[in-house]
Amino acid sequence: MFESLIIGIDNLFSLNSILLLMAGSAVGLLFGAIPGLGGTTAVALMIPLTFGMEPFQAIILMGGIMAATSTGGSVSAILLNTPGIAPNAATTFDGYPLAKQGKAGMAIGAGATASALGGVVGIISLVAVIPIMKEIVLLFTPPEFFMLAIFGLCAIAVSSGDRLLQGLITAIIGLVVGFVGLYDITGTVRYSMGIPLLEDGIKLVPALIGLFAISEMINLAVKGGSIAEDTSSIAISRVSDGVKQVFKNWSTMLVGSGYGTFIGAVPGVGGTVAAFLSYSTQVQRDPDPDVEYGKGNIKGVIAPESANNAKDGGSLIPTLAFGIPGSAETAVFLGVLILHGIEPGQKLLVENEPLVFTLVVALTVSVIFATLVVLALAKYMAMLTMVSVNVLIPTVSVIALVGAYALHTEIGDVVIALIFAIIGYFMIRFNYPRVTFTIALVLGTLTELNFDQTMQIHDGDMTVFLTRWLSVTLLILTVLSLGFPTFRKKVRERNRRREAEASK
Amino acid sequence: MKLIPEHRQPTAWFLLAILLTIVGFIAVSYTYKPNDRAFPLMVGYTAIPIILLDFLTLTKTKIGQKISVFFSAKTPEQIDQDADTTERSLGKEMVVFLWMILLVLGIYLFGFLPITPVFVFCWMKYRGAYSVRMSLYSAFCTLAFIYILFEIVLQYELYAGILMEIYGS
Repeated sequence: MFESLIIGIDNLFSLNSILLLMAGSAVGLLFGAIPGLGGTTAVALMIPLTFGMEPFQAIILMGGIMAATSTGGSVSAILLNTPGIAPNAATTFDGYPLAKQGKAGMAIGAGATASALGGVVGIISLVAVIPIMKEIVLLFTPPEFFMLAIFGLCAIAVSSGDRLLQGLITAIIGLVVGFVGLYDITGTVRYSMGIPLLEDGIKLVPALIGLFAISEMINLAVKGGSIAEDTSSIAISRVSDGVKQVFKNWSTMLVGSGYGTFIGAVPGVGGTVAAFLSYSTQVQRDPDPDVEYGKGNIKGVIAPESANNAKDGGSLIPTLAFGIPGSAETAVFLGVLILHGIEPGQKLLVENEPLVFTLVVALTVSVIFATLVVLALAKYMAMLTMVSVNVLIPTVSVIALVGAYALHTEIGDVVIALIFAIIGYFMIRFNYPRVTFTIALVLGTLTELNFDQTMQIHDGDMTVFLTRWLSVTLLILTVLSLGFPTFRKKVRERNRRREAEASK
Repeated sequence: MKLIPEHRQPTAWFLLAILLTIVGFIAVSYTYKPNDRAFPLMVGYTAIPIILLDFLTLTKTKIGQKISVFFSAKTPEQIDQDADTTERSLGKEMVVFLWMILLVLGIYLFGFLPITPVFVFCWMKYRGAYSVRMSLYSAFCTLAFIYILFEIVLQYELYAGILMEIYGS
């Protein structure tokens, strides 16, 4: 193993490899920061460039892209309330309020540092758990996947603070929207209303662009003003304060990284769920915060950012070990491996171990490189929040619509983005969380697929969810999460009573 | 709507629209085979009591208060205090929607590249009251960015508009 690590380091430290890594990181940062593009698009677009490369060079380029995307995505999440990629959506909850308070630099500093450290934790975990991970992932059969998805949705609804019912409602609407289109199990096209564009289902990218990017522009246009409510203090906020905050709140970063690694390793669940679960766990761990979550608590930036970068290492565990991609991004990466004649699985780990370690070293170096770039430019990036809304709205709207169109080059996707923008605006207006809607949309297919598979395997016996220990555990966690607001209230009341008694 | 305070009535209408959508969804679900509708129906029927509970939290009733406290640990009044109080007139919203609809319509008719500078210029000049020079500068910077990134670097063929498809070649 040590020998393979040395070969991995040797592969990386040549001029060509370093240039590839820097190019990959730059592309990852750019694609991560521009809403609607994301790492999957970047990895897919770069595949043709790797044709003439050695396998380890292709891996370095792809590693650079994958490691830098989340870091880039956090910048637009904090500054524009528009997640560059879906996993950065949780960062907007506290990152954007911090930007509005003129602390964009601190939020970016904390986000980038948490991303780097989370990424490194994820990569270390990748190396450490490969031998045992197979057993853990195999514990998840359809009933467990179904319960995990339900638990994810409820936990995220709870993390909407005082909007639990509204979070559940938007989650259900997200599931309903997810039902539109071809149902793989039976081959039936459902709820498409005869519109050919909807027969393949609502595409995630235009829906997310509409829901997060354009709806925010509509909201800004209706409200007026500028993104930063206190633009005068932007220059005062220092990026280094954010870096310090991560080390001060190291436990938040570690817990987030743990979530990212574990959830990332569960195929199909991915970084978005990891980031939101990490965020909701942070909210639950901190019942009496100094600054309320959702109103600019720095820990609300550290938790999701550490998770969504740690998931890169985690999602590579099933990809490399079993050939099961942990995310869309790693699914495309899997294609690159196969294109270069590398067969994932035990064979890769035994016969091509140096390649695995080349990827590990490339991911580690590029996540640090991307962070250094963001930290160096954060001051200038933060200036973006001072831009008047009337410059930002038309430019971001047009770029977002091009992004919605670009992935599938389908003009109907632009219309879908607009429809979701209007839906998203009404959600903002009436304070209905968009996050649960998004997660449900992402998890909808997976949830239904696992529900149906469970029913088929167990002859429609619903009690199966109550007879398997992991499924029951997840069910109990789901029920407990729904009672959490009441529990939190009681804890707060008890604390207040104690404080009152102590002050007497 | 006497049970619901005036400031919560727009939310009640929004909730009603969601309820009607869900009822419509359930009705459409019954047109599919049992295997295709099992899970959608489960989701649809779960939605109705949740929507009704949320509806109750908007009312000035004791049960509404209790539901609100159980699910959000706050009374409806406390939630009102934390809510965004920005004045949002329907007219203002409709004007912004219209701008966005015109943008999408423009893209559909004329394509991305001609509409981008026109939209950015018009918005900045007429909504932002920027100078012609500044508006033109921003319009062409945005166009250059989109053209260089998408058409040249990424080699996407951006949509050229339905009119170009009909009359272009």
